[in-house]
Amino acid sequence: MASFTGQVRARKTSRLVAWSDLCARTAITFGGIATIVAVGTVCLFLLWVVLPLLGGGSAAEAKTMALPGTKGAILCLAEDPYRHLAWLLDEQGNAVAFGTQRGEEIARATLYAPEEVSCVMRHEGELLLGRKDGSIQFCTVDLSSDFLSEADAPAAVANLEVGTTQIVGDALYERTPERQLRRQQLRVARQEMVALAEGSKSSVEHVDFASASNGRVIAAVTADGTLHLKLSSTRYDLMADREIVTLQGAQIPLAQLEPTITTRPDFVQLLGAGENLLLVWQDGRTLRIDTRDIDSPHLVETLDLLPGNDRVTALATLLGKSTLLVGDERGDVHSWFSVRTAGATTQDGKVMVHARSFPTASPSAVVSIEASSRSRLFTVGQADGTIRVFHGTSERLVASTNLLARGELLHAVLSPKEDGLIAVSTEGVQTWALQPGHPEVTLRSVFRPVWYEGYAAPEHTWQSTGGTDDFEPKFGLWSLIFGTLKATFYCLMFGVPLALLAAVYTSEFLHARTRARIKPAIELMASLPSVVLGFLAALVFAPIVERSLMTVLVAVLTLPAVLLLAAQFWQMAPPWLRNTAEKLRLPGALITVPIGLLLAFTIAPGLERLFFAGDLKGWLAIGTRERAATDAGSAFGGWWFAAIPFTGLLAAIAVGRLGGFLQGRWAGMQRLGLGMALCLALATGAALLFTAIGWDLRGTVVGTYDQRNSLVVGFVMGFAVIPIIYTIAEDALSSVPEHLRAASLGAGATPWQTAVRIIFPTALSGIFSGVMIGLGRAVGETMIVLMAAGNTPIVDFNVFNGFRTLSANIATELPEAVRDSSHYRMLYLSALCLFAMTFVLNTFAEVVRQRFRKRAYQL
Amino acid sequence: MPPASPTSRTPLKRLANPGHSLRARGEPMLWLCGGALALCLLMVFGLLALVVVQGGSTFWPVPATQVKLLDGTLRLGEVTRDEPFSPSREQFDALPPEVRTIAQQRVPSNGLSSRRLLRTGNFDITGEHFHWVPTFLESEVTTPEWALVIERQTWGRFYGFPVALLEDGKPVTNDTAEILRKFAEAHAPARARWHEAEAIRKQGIGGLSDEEDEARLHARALELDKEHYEEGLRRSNRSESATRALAKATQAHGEAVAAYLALSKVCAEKRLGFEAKIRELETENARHVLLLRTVDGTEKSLPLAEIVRAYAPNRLSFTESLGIYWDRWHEFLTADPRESNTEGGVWPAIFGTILMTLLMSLLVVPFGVLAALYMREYAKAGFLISAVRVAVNNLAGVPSIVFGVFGLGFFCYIFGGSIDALFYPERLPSPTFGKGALVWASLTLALLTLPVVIVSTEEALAAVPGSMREGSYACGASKWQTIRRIVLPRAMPGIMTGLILAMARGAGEVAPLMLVGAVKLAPELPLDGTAPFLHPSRSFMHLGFHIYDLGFQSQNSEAAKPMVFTTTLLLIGVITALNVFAIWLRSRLRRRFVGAQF
Repeated sequence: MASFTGQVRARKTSRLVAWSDLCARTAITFGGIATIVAVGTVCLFLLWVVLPLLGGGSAAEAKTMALPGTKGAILCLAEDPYRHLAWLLDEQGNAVAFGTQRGEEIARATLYAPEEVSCVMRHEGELLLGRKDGSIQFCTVDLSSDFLSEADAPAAVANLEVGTTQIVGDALYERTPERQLRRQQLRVARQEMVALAEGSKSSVEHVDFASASNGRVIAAVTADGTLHLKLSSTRYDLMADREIVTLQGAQIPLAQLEPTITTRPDFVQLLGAGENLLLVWQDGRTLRIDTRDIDSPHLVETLDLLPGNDRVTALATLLGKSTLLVGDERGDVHSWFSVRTAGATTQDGKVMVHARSFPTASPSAVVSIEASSRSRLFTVGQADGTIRVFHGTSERLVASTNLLARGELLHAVLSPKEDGLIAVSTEGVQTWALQPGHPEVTLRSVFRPVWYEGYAAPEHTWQSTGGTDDFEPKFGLWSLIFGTLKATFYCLMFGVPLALLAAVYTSEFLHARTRARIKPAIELMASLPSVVLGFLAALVFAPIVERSLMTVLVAVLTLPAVLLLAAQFWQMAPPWLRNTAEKLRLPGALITVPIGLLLAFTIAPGLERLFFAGDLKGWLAIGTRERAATDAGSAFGGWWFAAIPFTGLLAAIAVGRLGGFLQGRWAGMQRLGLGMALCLALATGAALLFTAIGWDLRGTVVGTYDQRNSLVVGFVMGFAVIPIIYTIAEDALSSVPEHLRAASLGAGATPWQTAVRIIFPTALSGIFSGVMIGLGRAVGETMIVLMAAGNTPIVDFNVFNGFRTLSANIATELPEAVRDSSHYRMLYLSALCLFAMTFVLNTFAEVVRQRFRKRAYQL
Repeated sequence: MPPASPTSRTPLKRLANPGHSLRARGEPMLWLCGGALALCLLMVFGLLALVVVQGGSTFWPVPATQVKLLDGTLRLGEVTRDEPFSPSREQFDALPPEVRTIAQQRVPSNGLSSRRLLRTGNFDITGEHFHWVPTFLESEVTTPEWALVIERQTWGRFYGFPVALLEDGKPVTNDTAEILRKFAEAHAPARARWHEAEAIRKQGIGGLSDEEDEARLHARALELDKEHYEEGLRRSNRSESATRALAKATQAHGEAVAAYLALSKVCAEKRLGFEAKIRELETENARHVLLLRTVDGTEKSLPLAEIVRAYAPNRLSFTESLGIYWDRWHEFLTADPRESNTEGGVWPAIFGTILMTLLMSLLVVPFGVLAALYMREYAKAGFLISAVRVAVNNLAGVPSIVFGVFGLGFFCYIFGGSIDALFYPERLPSPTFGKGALVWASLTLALLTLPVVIVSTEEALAAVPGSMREGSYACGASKWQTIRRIVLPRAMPGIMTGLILAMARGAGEVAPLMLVGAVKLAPELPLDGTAPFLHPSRSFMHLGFHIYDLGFQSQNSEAAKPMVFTTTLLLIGVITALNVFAIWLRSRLRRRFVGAQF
């Protein structure tokens, strides 16, 4: 059909248009949803990394095999790190290495003749033999591994495939993923025999040793009831071409230590690096002997490890030899360690405390307790074949399993990498594959105080890395959450009042043109990178505040005082001047603020002399003990300063309510004077009262001064959140409908009354959401706290010391954390906490803001 | 709303109780509010002024001050700052008795004296960069005319006096003025030779190693291939095709190894040539030496090539000072850092910051706009979409470090790790993409700023009047045509606003970058002349991280402080420049479309 223009037009949509429309729809829908999902992944991914922390461990049974040829009881059992071989030592002195797949014996060595040795102790890969002739001997038995070149390898293993093993002769060969050839062999080495003491021929009944910095501390009890305590040192004799072991130390008859001793102890256990020796009898009676001076050991404490009539059936220590594990005949295990306490009556100021119990379900005696060599895990083997794996600090039961092999359980040992478990009974050997998970972390250990070994009481501690191998990482998140909350609190204390007051003034009392210039200026603060603020906080503000702390504190008081004074002068001006010069108030304030600072600068030294003997930081640092003694330690000054803001508020209310009798031109001045006098008087009264009662502010919210502290952080972080709170609050105030304002003013209210009674309440929910968003920003702020907060994870309310926040902790530790370790996952948990905190805060703020919007529309 | 209200015009005397009227006006509270605003303004401008003054004055040449102490010790250096302090008793006790009496007399009765921090340099001789000089120990303060400040390639600054200019070990001249004149003549060629040698080292020899590395990795990749086929052969029980494939792979591997060996032979020859050239340059440079004397008389000879800049600060005219000031700024903006970042320039950091921000913008805008378009134009409005909207809004408030944690775990370890395993197995176990990298940093920041872009784009889309859409539909346009021709152009200024906000936030963020790719010192820029030009897997330097590193990880933090201020000034400058550019773009777009409004 011809149109009016005479041109024929297609009635159908061109195919190109339809196609592009479809494409665009698909692309946008797909891309849009994908983007939204990608954003949502953040939370899910964090969860995905964190979740394994909470999952438990498991032990899957792998193999059961017959015992290789041994005679008599099995004394030791150990597995190699790659879990191909294990070795055990029988009573006859035979060390037998066998494959853990089929149980075939591959090598055997005789360590000693059965009639020579009376006891054997194994610790950190070394064996200490106590001999019947009163001497001792160190031995090592291990499954050493070395790498072979293809030329040196036996022909049988030349074509070994990656990941497979083969036993040739007395060695096991494996092709590693790097295609190298690894050989493992049983290796036995014996050191020289050394007599415990000259002329002592009494059989050694119990022996233990610990590694100290200057040698090995050896404790032994011989059949004649003598305790030998020796420090062994090894030196290499060039002439004889062998190592010579010398012992020095003391030997005392047991009765000399404690006259009531009649029998010989059943267990001998050294603690730590040989600082303490425990002699334990089967009934739980224990003597703790201070062995720090090797030549004169002395008894410091007598205790009962098992109250009641239970008998001790197994004894061991956790890695680091600080925690003692006691197994009893009912199958329970108890852990003990020594702590330094204030009220201790012992000579060394420490007492052994019963820290934890690991109860059992099956009441049969504990026969074996073996600690892991890389963490605080340990295995408990019971006579009925129950084997459990616990974590010594978090008390988590990592795995629980049963012996399937016949016979009576003798030993259950963790493999060196904690990825397996091997147990030996009188009849056979059984292995399990173990997945310990993250046993040191439980919800309880993360958020509740944990009693770590050596600590006087349960504490919140974050300490992820340490200098020694036996260091125990401590993941108490609360100290970091506390730091985060502390930073947020002080930041908001400073930021919120300032931002809200400034927002009210900007929206209600500034000319529109001025407002259009001032608002962007404050918003400029928001675009300042936080790394800049952090650097200024740490390198500029912190030294300034440290140098003139008193001035800063005094300025908090003088600034409002000077502004109030200026307001009174302003009120005294004639009304016509006031009305025409309304615009001059802000410039007036701009001049007044520096005057207030100057005033603070001038009077601060005087006040410091008056209240703090001229040294505020010294006053803060005075500890509880010195307080009473020195005059400078009087609590008065602190209370006086702390009371001023509160009494100032009280005085303002009192004068406002009761000051009506003051009339005339000078009324404002008189009221201000009255108010200030009242404020000072009340503050003095309160300070006197509290000082008289004997309370002191130090040790609570104030205390020893650190250069990097909460005050500085609060100030600078307040600076960072002011623009956010200010902008949102100002928007909320400005968007209150104009007719409300007009009605209020028309009804005769002053602009101030309108602002406070009409505008502010109407905008309250918007202002609240601004504060919430500011709070969210403060919680997650990283660079400022990282640089200016000192980063010590302590739980302390003191304004003048530092803290460590979740965010700063992540920033410092995550780059070094090993991927997928407990530490790594704990840092992800910190991130998840931050995420949750801010998400909840923001959602709350958003909901409140929606409500505000709805309400504003209704008005 | 003009603040003058009807109430305030009411004559006071007509009120029953003027005292209450005063309270009603709330003047004290008004002043407190005004004071809060004033304090905020003072803080903002005070802070900016501090950064500008401190950062701007770093490079201005300061006179060299010579201080003679009471015990006769001489110190020469630049006064960094003065500060009051109260000397402790131990400090006096450490002094010799005759000096102690004079010093104690000089300290005022309140025990408060002052001291100045002198940057004395000469770290290689004294082991110190700075010295505190208490005022009560000074006996004479002078500004010696011929004191020289020398910025060196290594060991920091040198302060001293010229003794002679040596050529081949023989003094050319001993006259001080003449020394400086001759030095100025000989210095530029010496530095040029030094730069040439450096260039050969970096591009020539460095390029050779890169080439060799490339060939070695190629051979390694083929070796992995070969092993793969060997495995296949074993699996397939020596089938015909597997044998053939293995033979082919073995041959390729053999060729690659041969090529590598041949190349390394060629490279070794070339390297010898380069080294000879460098030696030649260095021999020539070793001939020119400036002999100097420190203030306490130690003689020190410095090769001219080692000297970056030398001047006699106490003889400088204003224009000469300006010249040095300008020259130092130029070096700061264009050169690489030296002396563990405390001296030299920050060019790699500027480059890294801008490149990262641009990459981030490239990533964030399309995705942000897609999501916003979907939520506003295509999705059905309902509870789900408003929930998503709230969630997206909230993500803008999630701490940046959380995104950094996500970036490290997801992008670097999982995503990057998979890329390495798939495409770069020959480089393992050293990671290529499985570590902090430019691309992961940009992606992380894009994710961080995505909510900002989504929210502002959505607002801009919502602000396009419905009448325009309806008009477009009425003319027969399809939905996509309407969006493309009518909605998007009008929403452009809003999208640009979102981009501005995103860029301002992205350029200033440091916390996530610490986890996903910003490093203290990157040997190579992520964008250079070797193919494929942009290297997304490289780490990069960032101005914000540079500030953190300089201020907190630096050995010589006192010397780093002025540099931190200058870097801060620069970072604020870069962010402002990005913002101004985007604002300009927005206003241009707005102007273009403002005429088209109905």
